[in-house]
Parts: sequence; C-alpha cells; structure tokens
Amino acid sequence: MYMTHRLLPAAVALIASATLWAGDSPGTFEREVPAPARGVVQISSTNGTVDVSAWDRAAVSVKAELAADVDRVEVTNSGDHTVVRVIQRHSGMSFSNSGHEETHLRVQVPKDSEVDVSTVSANANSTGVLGAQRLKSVSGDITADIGPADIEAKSVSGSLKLRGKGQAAKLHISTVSGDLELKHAAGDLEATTVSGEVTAELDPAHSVRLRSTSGDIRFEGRLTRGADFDGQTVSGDLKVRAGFEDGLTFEAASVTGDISDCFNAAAERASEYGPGHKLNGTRGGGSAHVRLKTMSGEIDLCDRK
Amino acid sequence: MTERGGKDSVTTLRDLPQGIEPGRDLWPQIEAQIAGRGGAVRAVGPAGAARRNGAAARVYLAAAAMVACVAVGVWIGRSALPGAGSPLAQGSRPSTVTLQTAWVTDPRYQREHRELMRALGAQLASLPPASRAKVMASLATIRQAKQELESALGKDPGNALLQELLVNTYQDEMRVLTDVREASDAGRGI
Repeated sequence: MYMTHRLLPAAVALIASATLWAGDSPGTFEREVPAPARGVVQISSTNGTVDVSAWDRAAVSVKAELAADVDRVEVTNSGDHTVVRVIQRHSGMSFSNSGHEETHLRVQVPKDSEVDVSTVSANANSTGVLGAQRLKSVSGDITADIGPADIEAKSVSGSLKLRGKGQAAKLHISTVSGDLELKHAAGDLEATTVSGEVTAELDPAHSVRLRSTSGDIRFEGRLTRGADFDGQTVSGDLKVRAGFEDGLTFEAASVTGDISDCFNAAAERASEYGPGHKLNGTRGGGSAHVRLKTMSGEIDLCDRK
Repeated sequence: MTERGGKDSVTTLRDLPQGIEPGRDLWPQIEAQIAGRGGAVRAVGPAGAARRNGAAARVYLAAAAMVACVAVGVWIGRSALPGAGSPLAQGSRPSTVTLQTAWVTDPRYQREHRELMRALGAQLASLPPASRAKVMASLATIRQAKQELESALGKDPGNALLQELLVNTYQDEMRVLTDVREASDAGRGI
C-alpha cells in the first residue's frame, strides 16, 4: 500500500507525458510549462534552427518540427530553471546530417529570463530577451537582439550578428573563424577571433578590447570620457573611426604595416635602427585612451565617426 | 698689438700668415729621438714588462667592467623594462608582458598544451566537415602567425610589441584548442 502511494505520482506523470507526446502530430512537438518571470531557460539542439523570442507571460512555450533523426524533445522544469533539449537518435555519435528534414525549434520565454542557447550546427536566433544571454554554437550562425543585460556569444566557425538599440551592455564574444557583426550596440565589448572579420559599432563605448590573428577589425563609434580602447592583430588590418566626448590619447604601433590617420599626423619610426612605426598623440582633452597594435596589418585611425 | 721686426701691426686674424715654414728640416732629429726612446724601452727588462702587464690588466678590467655594465643594461632593458626601445614603449604595460612571457614557459601551460594537441585529431574528426576545415585553417593561421612573430623576434628580441603579440597568439591557440575540445562533445555543444 505504501509503495502504491509512492509510485502513484510518478505513474501519473508518466501517463500525462505519454499522452502529451501522443497528442502531437507526427514529427511535431508542442509543450508549455510555467516558468518564473526571471528564471533561467536552457535550450540545446544539434542541427536545424532554434528561434527564441520573449513574451510577457510567466511560461515557456516550446514548439518544434522534428527531423527524422530526433529521438525526443525534453522539457523539464525545476525551481527557476527550465531546460529544453532536442535529443538526437544517435546522440554523441555523429554530427552528420543524413539528408532528413531539419529540426525547427521555437521557444518563447518570459522576457526577463536568462537564456542559455547551445547548438552544434543549428542556427540560433534570439529576439526581445532582456535578461542575460549565453549563446554558443559550433558551426551554426547566431543572431540576437542586444538587451540591457550581458551577452556572452561564442562560436567556432559560425558567424555572429548582434543588434542593439543603443542600450549599454557588456558583450563578451569569441569566434575561431566566424565573422562578428555588431550594430547599434553600446557599453563594453570584448571580442576575440582568429580569422574572422570583426565589424563593431558602439555608441557610446566605454571599454573596448578587440583582438584578431589574421581577421580584419573595423570599429565605428563614440568613446565616452575616460573610455579605454584596445585593438590588436597579428596580420589583420585595424580600422578605427572613433568620435569622442572629451578627446582621446592614442598610441598606434606596427612592425611592418602602415599607419594612417585622418588628422594629418605623420607616423614616425619606432626606433633609429629597428623596424616599426608608431603614431602617438592627443586630440582634444585626451580623456579616452586608444591603443592599436599590429605586426603586419595596416592601422587607420580617425577621430570622427 | 706691438710691432715686431719692423712688420706692420696685426689687427685681424686674416693679417696672420697662412703657414710658417721651419728654417730647417726637423724630421732627422725627431726620428733619432724616437729610435733612442725605443731602445731605452727595450733595455728596461722584466720590471718594465711587469709595469706594462699591470697597465694591460687595468685596461682589461676596465673593458670587463664596461661589458658587465652593458650586459646589466641589456638585461634590465629586456626583462624589467620590456617596453624600452620598442614601438609601444609607453603603452605596452611592461609588467603584464613580463608575466605573460613567464606564463608561456610555465610547465603547466606546456603540459596542458601537449595534452590538447594530442587529443586534437579525434576532436576534429567529431566536428562537422565544414567546421573542421575552418578550424584547421584557423590553427594553420595561428601556427603561421607564431612562426612570423618568432622570426621577427629573432631579429629584434627586445621588441615588446612582438613579445605581446606572440604571447597573445599562444593564448588564442589555447582558446581554440579548448573550444574544439568542448565542441567535440556532441551532447553539450561548446
């Protein structure tokens, strides 16, 4: 009798789950679970697409069209964590797409949620989320709206496109070969890539650190009073067009690349006998600090947007 | 100026003669004096040699001291002040560069790097083919960047900019290897 009482809830949950699964059309999945307004929603899928959007309700809604290689979709809810996982039939065995239709996952989350999206080759898109976002992909492309909270985005070969509305946020981005495009952002940015191209627009920017091995870096924006800007490449070009609130102090250095600017300052030799050129100086009040360094890339600095 | 020998007084430098020839050939007397002094030196013997050796030792000591000073200067320039004489002498945060250089030679870093490289083949094999190709191309880019930086540093060992770029390239390589390791876990993504 005691055992019956203990097993009864689990049996009911199992039957309910099976009923919900049976209620979905073949190859589709639909589920809605309650979720706290400021909870954490973790989403993972291997291939296809993942669309995350925010709404005003305290619930997480999951809708999916499933490829033939998908075993199941799990939606679990524990405390303030909601987890949505697309489980492959041969999980962990192969990334290959055997020609089946892709999986399309659509997840709606409370707008103040923290969102954590992880994919392999699936493209991920996040819109309207106001909480912190952690977006990761191997080869899938990532696009996201920048809200007021921090974003950490990371990819191996997928491209990253982030769009803001001028709200200050802290952005930590890294790719191996994927390109980064950042528009209408503001606040702090730290971006690192090996061979990807970086195009960043921050207005205003307070702290910017951009680093690349061979990829070109292009920055456009406005630096706040006391802002700190660091750009560095090995062979990629550095092009910076930075307006300022209270002047800027700049130090540009290159070993073999050219240094140019839009204010008619001439780069000089770094030393009498060694290679290299440098361009140091101050514009206006000199409040913001800009440091640009490269080995063989070209540096182009302008104090106007 | 007073008048001498009945000549006109000299009022400017231009009034002085361009040259004054001696009344006789002075060279034979000079040559004889030189020859006589040399003979005297040769006749001094062991005591004179000792004085000569002492003088030579002082010269060698002075030279050694000078070399030591230069060596200390170079050491200070390359370790304590890596920015000195480099393109970014003022803005390269010397202490950071020094610490990072030490970090690259840290045995823990080298051990971790070896382990990541050993596992790389299997991890790359588990990536989607297009992603695998891009990662391999990026690792080749990093390898080439390291070679170019090391080559440039070979020509200009004290260049703080090159040191900093090289250390950062090592860091980037570690980041890529770590990301690939994480990405190869199909269940977790990266």
